Amino acid sequence: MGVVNPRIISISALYAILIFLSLFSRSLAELVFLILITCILSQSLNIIMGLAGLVSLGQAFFFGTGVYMFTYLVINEVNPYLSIILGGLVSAIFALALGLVLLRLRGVYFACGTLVVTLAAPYFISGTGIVGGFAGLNIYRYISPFYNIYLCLFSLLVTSIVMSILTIKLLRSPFGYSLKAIKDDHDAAETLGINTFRQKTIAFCISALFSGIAGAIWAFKQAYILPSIAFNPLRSIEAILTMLVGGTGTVIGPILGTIIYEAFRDAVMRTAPGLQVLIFGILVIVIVLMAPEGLIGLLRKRFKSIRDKIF
Amino acid sequence: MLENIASIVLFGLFLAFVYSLQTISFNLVVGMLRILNLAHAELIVFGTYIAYWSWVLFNLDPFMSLPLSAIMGLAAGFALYYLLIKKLVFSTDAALIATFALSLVLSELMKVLWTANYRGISWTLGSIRISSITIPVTYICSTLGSIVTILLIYFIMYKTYFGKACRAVAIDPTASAICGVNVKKTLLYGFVFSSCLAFISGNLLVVYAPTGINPYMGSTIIARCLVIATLGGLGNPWGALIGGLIIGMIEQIMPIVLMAIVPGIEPFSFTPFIYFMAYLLILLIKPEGILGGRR
Repeated sequence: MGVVNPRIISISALYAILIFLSLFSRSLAELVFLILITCILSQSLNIIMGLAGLVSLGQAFFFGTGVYMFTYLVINEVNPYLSIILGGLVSAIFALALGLVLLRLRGVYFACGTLVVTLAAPYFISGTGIVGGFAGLNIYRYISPFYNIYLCLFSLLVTSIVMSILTIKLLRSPFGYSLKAIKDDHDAAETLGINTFRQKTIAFCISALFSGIAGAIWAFKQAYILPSIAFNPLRSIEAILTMLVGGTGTVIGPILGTIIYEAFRDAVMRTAPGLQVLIFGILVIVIVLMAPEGLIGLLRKRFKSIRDKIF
Repeated sequence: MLENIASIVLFGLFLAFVYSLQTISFNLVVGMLRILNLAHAELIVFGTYIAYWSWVLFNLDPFMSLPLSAIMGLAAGFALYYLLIKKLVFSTDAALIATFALSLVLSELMKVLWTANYRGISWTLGSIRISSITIPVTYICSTLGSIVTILLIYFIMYKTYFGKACRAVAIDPTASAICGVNVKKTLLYGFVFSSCLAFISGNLLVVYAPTGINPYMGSTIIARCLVIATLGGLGNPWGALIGGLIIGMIEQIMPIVLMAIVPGIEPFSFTPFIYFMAYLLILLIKPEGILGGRR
């Protein structure tokens, strides 16, 4: 990795575009906020699904735990910025506990486990009535002294950049290689002496940590939480879609995928409101069937000469 | 008190057979095509909507609309198989994502077609009283319908060539191909059969959802299907019967127990959470389920 690495330049360029857009107008800043939230979810999914090859439908669960932990701390008058970090950490602890159960399973069983956890969480919230319960909670009065959309954007941007750097480092580290080995052939990796369970658990926790942070920042910005929105399973599939569009297991893939997806969704919302989920579901099916390696995969095939430099 | 318990157990039993039918049809696809069809619940909801609309538009009661549902189920099965499922057979990961997306597409389609309002029909045939327990006749009809359908599935799976071929493909596709089974056709008809059963079970469900039919009810159904299927053994149709029985009972008994033990809890919202946790526990202790997978 040299000083002027094309990969880093292209990623920085994408981030620069996002920053420029967010300074342009308030409505664009809102759009960039959504882009960054989905982008972080997609990047965190990239670690567990893109690198380690575990299909996870539970990104929304960790997002939701981040949201609820943040809210719980804030209404107990903890500093919001500290709560964001703590929200992420609690999500990671949840991932550790869940990983002990779910990561012993392979393939579909794991995916179903994560899906079921996501579906179960809102029932827990509305059943016990904690942190607002079924009806949700408005937390604006607790966070209003700290409230600023540009600070939210900035903290999201920092998280996303940290994730990019982390992914670059992971791709070239023994840990990353062991995850790739697990993805390619689980049994062979185990035979070679990789502690697959431990490596998968660590990857799962990292992925949950950042999803939780994204959730906490989302709660900070929205200032109104609802169990059905915090644990919306749509978010998991959104993360999968954006990762697939961009390209699995790459650094730039999730960022590019999210920008394309959010721009597309914005366009659909303007032209055909109420139909975006329908169109988006069809899109996922088409991409899974036609281009399982994503746009990056298609581009790689087209421009073989520059593929190693940029992607 | 005794009558109370008896009525709870009875209603649990009623629900158990309805849930079992849903899960058996789900398990057929898991066993044969080796994919978890996460859009299965949306097929069930479609069946429920057919029962609803034939009641509202043509004044057909849910039993008269069963054949209509079955035919629509066959059509939907063929269409989905050729459009999507055919390309996903035996590919677990891609199938999971694609069928999840399909479930979103189908539920959105229902929302666009029929709006997200909660609907329901008030179909009553009176009720039977046994000492102090009152049982609506419609519940008995719906459960009897489920039991008959389950017996029919049993007959088809064990006594006809098609059923035997299905079981053979579920055990080993290659070996059954060597023995002269047309695997592609069996997979197609297996999926169509499952979709048809899903519509029928949806049609029978309308009785139990007097005000609750909406496009998004599928997410609860699929989660329950997953729990029951895993409990009994994923891909094993008869495991679904036992799993359905257990979950049906839990769903009826738990709210009462919870209300007695934990003060200040919303028992009906909390019960699903309990069986989801039970699901995780089963995965941890006995992932292959009570009866073991795929037979």
